[in-house]
Amino acid sequence: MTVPEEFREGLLAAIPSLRGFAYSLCGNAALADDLVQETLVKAWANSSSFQLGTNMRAWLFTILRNEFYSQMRKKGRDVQDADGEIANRIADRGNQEGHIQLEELRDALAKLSPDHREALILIGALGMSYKEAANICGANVGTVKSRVSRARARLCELLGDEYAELNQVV
Amino acid sequence: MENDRKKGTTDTVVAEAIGTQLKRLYNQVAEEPVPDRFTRLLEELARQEGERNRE
Repeated sequence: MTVPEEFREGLLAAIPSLRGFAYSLCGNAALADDLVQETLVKAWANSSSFQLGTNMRAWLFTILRNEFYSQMRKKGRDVQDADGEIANRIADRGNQEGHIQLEELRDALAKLSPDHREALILIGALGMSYKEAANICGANVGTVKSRVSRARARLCELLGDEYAELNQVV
Repeated sequence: MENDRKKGTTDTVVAEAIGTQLKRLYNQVAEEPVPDRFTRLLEELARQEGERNRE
């Protein structure tokens, strides 16, 4: 049984978004790329269960997040940035204010529970519909809405000053 | 009611601000060129499959 060329091209095209998702989810670029690698290998092995023409991004994201949770369970702790690797990575790109803010956001994200973080990334960073996000998370739409809302509220607490200014403007 | 409306607007502004920052974090990696390790991996998977099919 041959893996169709269209499937290979779909995998290749999905790599940037898989990397962005994995990086946002685990906060560590090296771990993120390992997750992406594992996702590609699993996707290839299960290519016959994917129906060409359906939503490949959702299918791949589901594999990736399942792998992420499975690794977390194995390690008995959150798969997180252990050595400030991202802080260094961001610092390398210059010390503009925007990068410092991103570093703070990354730290704040790491404090959210993984299921809240995941829902917020799918909706907030990828602009997915609640339905698509719910499909990937294996939860219902109401649960995803509630997770996103609680994740935003928690980020507001953690990044208080920055968002408090917005509150005053309105 | 006035307060409810004000709260609704604030929530939207905060949600948008968070969304903008999340997109930037995501794009830091998503906008990078695909690293060689992944193109090599896909080539390797295709090669292994080719071998299996010949057997």
